Amino acid sequence: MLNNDIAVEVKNLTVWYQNQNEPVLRNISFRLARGEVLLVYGKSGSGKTTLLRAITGTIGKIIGGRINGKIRLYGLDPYNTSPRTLLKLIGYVPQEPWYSIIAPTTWGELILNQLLIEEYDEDFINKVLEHYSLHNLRNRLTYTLSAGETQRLIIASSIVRKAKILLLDEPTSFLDEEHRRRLVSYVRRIINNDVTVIVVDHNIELWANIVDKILVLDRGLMKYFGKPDGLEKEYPFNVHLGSIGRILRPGKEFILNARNIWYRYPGSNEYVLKGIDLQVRKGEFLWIKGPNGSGKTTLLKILSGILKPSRGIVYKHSKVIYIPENPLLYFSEPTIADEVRFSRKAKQLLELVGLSEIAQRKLRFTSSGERRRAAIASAIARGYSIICLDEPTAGLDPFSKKSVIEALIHVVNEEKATIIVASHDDIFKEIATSIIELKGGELR
Amino acid sequence: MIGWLIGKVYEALFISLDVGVRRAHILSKILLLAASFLMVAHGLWFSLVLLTVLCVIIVVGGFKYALKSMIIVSSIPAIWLALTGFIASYIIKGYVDVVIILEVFGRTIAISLSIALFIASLSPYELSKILWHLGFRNTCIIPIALWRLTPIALKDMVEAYNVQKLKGERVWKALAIATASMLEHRDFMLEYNFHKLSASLVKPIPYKYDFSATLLLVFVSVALIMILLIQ
Repeated sequence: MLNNDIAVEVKNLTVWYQNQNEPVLRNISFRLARGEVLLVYGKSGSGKTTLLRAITGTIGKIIGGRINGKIRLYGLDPYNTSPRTLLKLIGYVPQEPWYSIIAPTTWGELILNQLLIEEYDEDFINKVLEHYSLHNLRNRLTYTLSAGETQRLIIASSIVRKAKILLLDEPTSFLDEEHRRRLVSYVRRIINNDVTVIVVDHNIELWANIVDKILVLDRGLMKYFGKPDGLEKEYPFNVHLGSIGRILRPGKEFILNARNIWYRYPGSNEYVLKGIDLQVRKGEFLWIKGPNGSGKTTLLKILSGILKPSRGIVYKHSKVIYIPENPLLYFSEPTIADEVRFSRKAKQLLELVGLSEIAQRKLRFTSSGERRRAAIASAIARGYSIICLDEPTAGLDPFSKKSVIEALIHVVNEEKATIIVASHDDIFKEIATSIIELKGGELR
Repeated sequence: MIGWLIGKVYEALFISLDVGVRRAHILSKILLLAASFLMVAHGLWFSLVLLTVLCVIIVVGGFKYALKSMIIVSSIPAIWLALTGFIASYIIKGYVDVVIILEVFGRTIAISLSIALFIASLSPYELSKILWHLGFRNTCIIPIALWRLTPIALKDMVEAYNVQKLKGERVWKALAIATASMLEHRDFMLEYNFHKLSASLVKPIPYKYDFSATLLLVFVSVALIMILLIQ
């Protein structure tokens, strides 16, 4: 079946989404040979994810829309190929990797993937578990896996299905620097097995050593396709975000004071926070950094009053609000405009966070970055002067990240708000007026 | 309170791996449930015996961590029925029959706990295997996917509730936003797993039963039925 050396062939591909007159992608053409790595690069809305969706054969099936042109994967049309054959052809790591997993346990996910294409082979599953450092997570519940572990499990599942083409959509957006490098090393292992890889990412530098070709998309049009050499002259290699504003000097007045905070979850014997002391000034931008499981989110929830400390006390001299990692869960109203209607300055607030043009849009149809900015504006409109945000840049591309950070800087400088951010993203090093680091529930 | 309760449901039903009585054969689980219904039908004292036996099974059967949560979850319908009985008794008779109220509470908590244990002991892999053997080759993935999605939905519900409470909003708004988030999760899951959900499993997921766990449930069920017969 797969005797073709052309792994992916896309010719004059044009894609329309349902209820949209303008195509999202126009006349895209490229070819990839077996074992080649393609990096797809472009701003948000340039059609990168749409290209991957089109290749998976889901547009017009589960996703409303239609395509024109030709897509061939080892000579097969994904729109006229059985699901089982497609599972043997494609592995897909989406931007939100959690939703690509079906089984409640790591072991179950690998077996399920194998049984979709062939009979169960325990030895092979064990080898894959070992090869992708998943053997220690064999019996872990999949909803407790980190983003990096989840991506590894999806890649391992693709290997179990013997997929020949691996698609990765913004795979580094939830990862810290160490896990990004680790991901590249796992992808390197895959290409050694003749797997063709298409990766959508903004971090060209990270992939530079393994990329064979680069495809640059701009508002649905193909601006460049070819070897990475020479591209730099035509197109900037790194994302230039331009200058980000600075936080003005915080005041001297303390508005939040946490003393000797200890916390353990009900039923657990282990403390996730151990004797944390913290003082926050008005107008401060505090960054709580630390690896996964260090207690950052728990501390944020205690500071905002969602959790009560097992020991210790938090003194608050202003109203505090908490914006969760999934910003959708923050909202109480259907549209952005409704969320900020409590303030007389609603219009200015929306301008401040750059959402004036989409104020009437239903929050369900907004992007993650827009939701975060809307939540920030809503918090100010509701009179909260201390805003605690959990991983506010997680899953965002650099451009959306910049807009969220600018919104935060504006509300600190212009609304005199205080920001407390829990994040593993180093971008806050540039902006924060103070930084604390948690490790194992303790301040370092 | 609501967030805390959702957390208890989540602990009681969804955070277990396939160990202990989860590995028992489904027929033994059904047998225990049937025996539990019979015991409860025979009155308060039998219900109290059942309650004790169920607590022991929960502790030795791999759900020790969830004992408290299961009792809390099971006591909700028990308290509800006992309270309504209390009010009805007072309005209709003009006095409260404490024995009847206690009986309602005892019998309801016993049957609720046995249902909670039954649900917690169901394995999605086992259900999938049964569906596959019954010929549902395409839909046998659904219980597995449900077990994966439900804890995520419950966690969202707790998070949304906490934030709405902090904002001073009404509880139903948390429910609305958690539902919106759940629909979003569902859409992502359907899109990213489109081909997996469209294909059927070549063979059912291998599922090894635990003989001692099955024996424990059969033994307990038979013992409960024997107690009833002797009476």
